[in-house]
Amino acid sequence: MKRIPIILTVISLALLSSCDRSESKLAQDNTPQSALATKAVNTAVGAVDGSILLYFNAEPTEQDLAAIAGAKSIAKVFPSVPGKEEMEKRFGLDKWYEVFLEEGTDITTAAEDAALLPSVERVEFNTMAVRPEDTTVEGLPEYVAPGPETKGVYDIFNDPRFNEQWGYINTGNKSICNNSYAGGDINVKDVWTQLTTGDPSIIVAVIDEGVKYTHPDLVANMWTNTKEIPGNGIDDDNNGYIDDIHGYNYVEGFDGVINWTDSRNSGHGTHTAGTIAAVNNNGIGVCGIAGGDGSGNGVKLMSCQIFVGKTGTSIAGCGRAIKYAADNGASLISCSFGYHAGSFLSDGAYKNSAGAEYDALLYFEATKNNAAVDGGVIIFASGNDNTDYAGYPGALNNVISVSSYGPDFMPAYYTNYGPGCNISAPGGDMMVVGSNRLAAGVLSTVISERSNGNDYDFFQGTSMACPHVTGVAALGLAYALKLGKHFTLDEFKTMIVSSAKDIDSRMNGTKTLADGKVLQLYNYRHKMGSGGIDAWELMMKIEGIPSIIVSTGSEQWVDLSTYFGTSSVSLTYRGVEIPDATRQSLGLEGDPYIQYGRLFIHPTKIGSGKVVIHAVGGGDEVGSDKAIGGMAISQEVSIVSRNFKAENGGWL
Amino acid sequence: MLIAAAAVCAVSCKDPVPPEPDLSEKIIGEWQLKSIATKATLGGQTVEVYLSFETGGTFTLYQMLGQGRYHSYKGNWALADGILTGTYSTGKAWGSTYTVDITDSTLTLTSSIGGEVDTYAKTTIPENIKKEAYAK
Repeated sequence: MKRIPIILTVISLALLSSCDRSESKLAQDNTPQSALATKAVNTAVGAVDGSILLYFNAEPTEQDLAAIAGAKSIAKVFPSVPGKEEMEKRFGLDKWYEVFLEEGTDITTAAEDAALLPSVERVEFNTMAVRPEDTTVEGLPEYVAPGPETKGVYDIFNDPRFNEQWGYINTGNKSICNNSYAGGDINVKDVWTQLTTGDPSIIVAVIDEGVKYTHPDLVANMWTNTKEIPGNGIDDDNNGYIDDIHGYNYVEGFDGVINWTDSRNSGHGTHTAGTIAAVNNNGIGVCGIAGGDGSGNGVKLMSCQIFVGKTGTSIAGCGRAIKYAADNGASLISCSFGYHAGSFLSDGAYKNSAGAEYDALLYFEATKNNAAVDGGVIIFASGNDNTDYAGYPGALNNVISVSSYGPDFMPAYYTNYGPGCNISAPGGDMMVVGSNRLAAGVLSTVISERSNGNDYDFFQGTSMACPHVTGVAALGLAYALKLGKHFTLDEFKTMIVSSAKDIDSRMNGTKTLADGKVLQLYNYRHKMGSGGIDAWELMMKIEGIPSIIVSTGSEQWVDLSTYFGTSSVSLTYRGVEIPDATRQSLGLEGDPYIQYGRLFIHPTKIGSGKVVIHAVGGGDEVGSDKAIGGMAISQEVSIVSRNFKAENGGWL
Repeated sequence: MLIAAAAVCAVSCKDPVPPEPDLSEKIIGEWQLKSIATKATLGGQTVEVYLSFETGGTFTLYQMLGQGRYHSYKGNWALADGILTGTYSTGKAWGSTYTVDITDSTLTLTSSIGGEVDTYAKTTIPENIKKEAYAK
């Protein structure tokens, strides 16, 4: 398979060599250095040799190319797809070009030349994507499968290793770790038994290492591009890619073929895919969160490969992978990659450095690929730097960034936390104290070719936490479709981030690791996003949120956990919006406000109304171009005022 | 002789009229909220309430306020001197006590706080509501 290059023109070396930088007629008053300083959005550190990215405000010409030292050809970064042209223009994807350079060309020199061109608005070095640092733990005790569990707990599906997936159902089994915490999980059991297990019309793109699409526990849930005829060397569906059947490989040197056999591969993408949608109830292996019930109703997995092991693709490749997901039907992208925490400290800094990737993310968000939500949901790992802020792009205020906890429902020793982290999920922690520490990781599908013949193994990392949230979000979409519900993208993201169970109650004292190191848990308080993702709570929000009953004629504090999860007292609130109609209907005495996570309200009249509460999903401030921070979330709260109310909200 | 005795019995051994059941018996059964009469309107919020008063003094309340699914609450009730009181299974008292009036298939509960009058109709609570309600 080959990505179809959209070569505008190829300039001969002779032409390029004849181009004298000092003779540029386009910007004679500028020095190349000052022009680059104005237009470059990042530095050459970590960039690939051989190409630079340019954002043109006009169609590039042969003269433009000739003015750039070492340039040999130019191509659009993003293949244009018929029918998507308007969207591509709206997000400027049609203006990004990749200029390919002769071997040995200094990319800074080429960038300086490009910056002198009036038609070039931005210059971007083509930085390599980074996978979160591996969190391998050496010298683990020999693994022992957890002992028999309470009868009935795991009777839902017949997958034999289901009971080792504590992230789904955590019974507090001490054979996993000494401090295992019952309920320290995603609370998905009742969702599976009562509400939904998936929907094959929902496509989830795994932007990661390649997914082993022949894996026995994944194959039935792989997305298949039915418009493409395998192996005929033709772009049958005219989407810009030849023979892309289950996705596409963007790593240089692989011709688009999804690869998992290269010795550099770790199985990372296959592992994250399994957490999202390994096939359930098929009598083998493990379960996936949105993997269906064995009747073919799991969500579908699309593989957008940007890594072969730690060898990644560039910003351009990542951007193309994200656009591919949007153009080919994905409603969610699960992204267990990003820059190290601290590489950028504001949304603006990231956008300026990875403009092409950011534009692709916006394009994905704006693409509606299902009837339930009018946009794409982006979920990233927060990073494994054990730093008190998230890595980008996950830290962006419009995407969901996931921190990691272990079976003790405490922060994993490696996880990032704090600003930019929006929610937490099981990611495993093999440094917990216990005799069976491997079991404290996350069990999922892996590549037998790279794992001594095993199809399953334990990994740990925010990379593993991220697909837990993706899987829950996929279940949410499936359930919304089932109910015929529709949400805006912001509404759906708010529902995800506010569907959290309280984790701060675990942030007391210390957590001692197997090597004797100690985590001071107060450092993590209010910093694991809004709390632990809770699948049941998300489904309840999708069904609809009930009204709150308040007492007419008295001042009172109203608990907001129904709306913002059991971590509601820990969230930072930005204000309450009160429509005049509500003010009048309830006869509000003064303005409602929020303190210590509760709503203060004083209705003087029997009636009903709605207010909108604005909060921060993770962190104290909403992220901005100037500072890293959380996601802005808003919930409409319905209030019924009666002369009396029961403490538990009952009608009588 | 036998015939005569039977005839006498037929006119003199009339079945006794069963006593009118008291409110504590009449309230047993399942009811659906039909109207809420208060000093003001409750506005446009959906209020769906079903009550099941069971023998033995237990009750189950199913309610859906606004959006979402039904929530169920259990507890105990008592009716004395026409006043209905109750506690939820959490041990907390109802938000109000009520005077009770039952005529035919209508149950009227008048709150002792603010005088809210809620009228319920005898009904059979749909099984799906019972099955799918979220226990609080």
